[in-house]
Amino acid sequence: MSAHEAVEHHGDDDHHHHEHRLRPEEWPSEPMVGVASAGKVGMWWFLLSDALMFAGFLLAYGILRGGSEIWTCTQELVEAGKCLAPVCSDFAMSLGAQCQENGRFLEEPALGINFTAGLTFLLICSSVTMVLALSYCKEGDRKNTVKYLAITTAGGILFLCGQWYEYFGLFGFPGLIESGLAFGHSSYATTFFLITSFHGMHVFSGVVYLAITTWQASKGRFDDGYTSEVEILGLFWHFVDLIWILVFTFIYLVPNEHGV
Amino acid sequence: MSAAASPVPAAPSGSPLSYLNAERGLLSWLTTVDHKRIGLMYLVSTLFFFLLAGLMAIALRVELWTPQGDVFDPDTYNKLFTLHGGLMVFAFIIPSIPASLGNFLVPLMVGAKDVAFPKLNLWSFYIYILGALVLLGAIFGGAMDTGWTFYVPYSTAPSKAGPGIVFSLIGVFILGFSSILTGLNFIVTVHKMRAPGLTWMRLPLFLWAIYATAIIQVLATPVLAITLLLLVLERWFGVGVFDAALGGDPVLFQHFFWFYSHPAVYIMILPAFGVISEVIAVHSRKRIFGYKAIVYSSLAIAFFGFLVWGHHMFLSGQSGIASTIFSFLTFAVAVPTAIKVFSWLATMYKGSIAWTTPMLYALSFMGMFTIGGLTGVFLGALAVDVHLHDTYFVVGHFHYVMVGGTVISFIAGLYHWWPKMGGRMYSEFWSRTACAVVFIGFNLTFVSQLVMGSKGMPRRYASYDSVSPALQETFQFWHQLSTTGSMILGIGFFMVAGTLIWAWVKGPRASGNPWMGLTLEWETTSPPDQHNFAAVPAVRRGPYDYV
Repeated sequence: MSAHEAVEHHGDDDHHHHEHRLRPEEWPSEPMVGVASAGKVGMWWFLLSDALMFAGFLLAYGILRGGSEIWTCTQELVEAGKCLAPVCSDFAMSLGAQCQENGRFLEEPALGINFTAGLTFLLICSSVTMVLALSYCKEGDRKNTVKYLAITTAGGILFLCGQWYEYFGLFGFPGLIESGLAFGHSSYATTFFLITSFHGMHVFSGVVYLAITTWQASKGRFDDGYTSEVEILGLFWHFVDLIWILVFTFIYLVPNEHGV
Repeated sequence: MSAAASPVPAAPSGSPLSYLNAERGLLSWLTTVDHKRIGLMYLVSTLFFFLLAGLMAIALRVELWTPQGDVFDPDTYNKLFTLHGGLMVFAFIIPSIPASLGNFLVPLMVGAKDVAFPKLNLWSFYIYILGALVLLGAIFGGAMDTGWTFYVPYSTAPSKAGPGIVFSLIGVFILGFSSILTGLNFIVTVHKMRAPGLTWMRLPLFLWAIYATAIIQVLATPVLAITLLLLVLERWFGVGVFDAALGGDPVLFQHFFWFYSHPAVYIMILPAFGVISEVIAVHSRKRIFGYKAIVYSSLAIAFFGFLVWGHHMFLSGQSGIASTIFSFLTFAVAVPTAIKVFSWLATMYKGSIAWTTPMLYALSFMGMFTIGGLTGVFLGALAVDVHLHDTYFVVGHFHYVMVGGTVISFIAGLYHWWPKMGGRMYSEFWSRTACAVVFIGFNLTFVSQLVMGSKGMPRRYASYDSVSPALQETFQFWHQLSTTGSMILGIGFFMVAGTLIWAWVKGPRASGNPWMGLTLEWETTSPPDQHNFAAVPAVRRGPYDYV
């Protein structure tokens, strides 16, 4: 073959220098390509990737918990000499932790299911308002879109406040750290903080994402009927919600057979 | 980056306007969202780390010339092979074909102006640079001496290495995100940006390979990310996840690590399959044999790749039944892989084969990759693995796949698309000569390792003077052969670089389609216009419908 005929080939001189970048969905339509926007396909694959991160965390948690002799170091177990309560850190003491004379907590606290069940309900409600926001957005109702996006944002912020209360306590009520759940002391404490804070970071990102979209909606960005970006935000928010249900189930609800 | 940019302004006046000279100046490169420029920047940076890690390999081979540990102390030796492995795997091979050739070619092959998310693409490049520099910067923190697998307890034991291990882990963690984002971009590009008429079953096989790779990148890398995160926390806080002394599970680390790192070897080899499919079809001028079989085998490899990680842990206290299942699943991967090799062979049968440099590399790929694959079957067999585990046989097998497979096909792809990327043709004579030198050097280096491994030479030892004199003599013979080979291989790679650089700067101009290929990248000029195509291309035939 004539691979080496180094012919100088000038292409057509009418190179079009497009100033305007096409949105991918404005690309000539092809039945096999489908109608989902590029951003939506991208978000779905991102969520799959993110789901595997949580899967890894939850699997590690399950393996460690299933293989452990003692998962939660309760007061009875401490008194029976089966395990040592966590060391009182300076941080915990500055929060007002009750420590023994040997510089240790009395026990590792159990997780409060009732309060967190409330947080779970809150997150589920915020998913509902997200659905409403998208539905109003598709109808072109800017006022209600902004309203329900703002409510969803508020739900996320409230959840984060709840998580803060759970970790650090608020208004004189003790948090878990103060009661003796010390990061790094046990697999129980470590996996709890790792997984719930990793989820909390997702909620935080979601709140920022929601706030930006709310602002954009109030400026009329979605009035042209192109609502894909709100739908993509919804995908992320529902995902964060769904993951929380798994986290809540495995971390909080699975009863502690070894410990109690 | 400037190495790629500098030849451009030197191009003779009157050279046609292309992506290379449409905008000028270093800043136009550093802030570009053009996938072709990002591909070139990846090419230069990955090859820089290839050079660096390759020189480390030569240093290791020099140490092994004599049985005594006379060039480096064992500690330095450990750090050298760890950095060699870490840089090669995470900073070179994983991004090599997808990030450089893939970035350059994916939008061209689908007939689009760019990838789906051009800014994200530039971000992943900078994330890559940051991660690679942190990994390399670990040298200043005392480097890391655990081997590239970061096994616990080496990586958790209070070691002399200081902060080096944490730096390395964070570097690889960052690199992982670059890999995820690149994969995400390619998946969406293939889904959403195809030109009219480019149906799934008309996609060039390179795109199918990149697509299958991207799925693994997106789904497996996050597991590595959390593994490394947990390991960093274990080192910093002693959280008791992997450290047995604190109630953790060291085998859990191995499970997590290989859940990513076994699919990761398919991240490394699947794009190579894509390159070989293109090169063999185009340079045999024949419709590819078994197009659908190759497509589905790529997807099958991506799928089975997730289910075989346990074959790295036959000797790690894994249960017998688990090992047996993993062993059989490992053999199952050989089936789709063999389907590909036979399809390529059948494509060449009665084709009009052109003995061009890319084709010669493709042929050497077929031989060497087959050796790599078959030695893998030895290692996947339970009883044989007990004998071969942690010997040079493993090192030889891995390098046959990674160098004989991936690097060789990477070079094949570079020669094949070089006229497209730079608009100039390489010297066929010198490139063929370099190919022969690489072939000889490579086989000399790694056949010796397979042999000494089967005779019991363990991997990761700086010296081998504590065995019987007779065995010492045997080992030394093979080590010296291997070291000689590695020098020849090194010279070969420098020759390859020489021919490519010469072609870029001085080579004769190439036409838009020097190989008479039928895929879309050949329909535009060489080098392509900044916006790829003057008009949206339409596809009315398959990628290999030669008449």
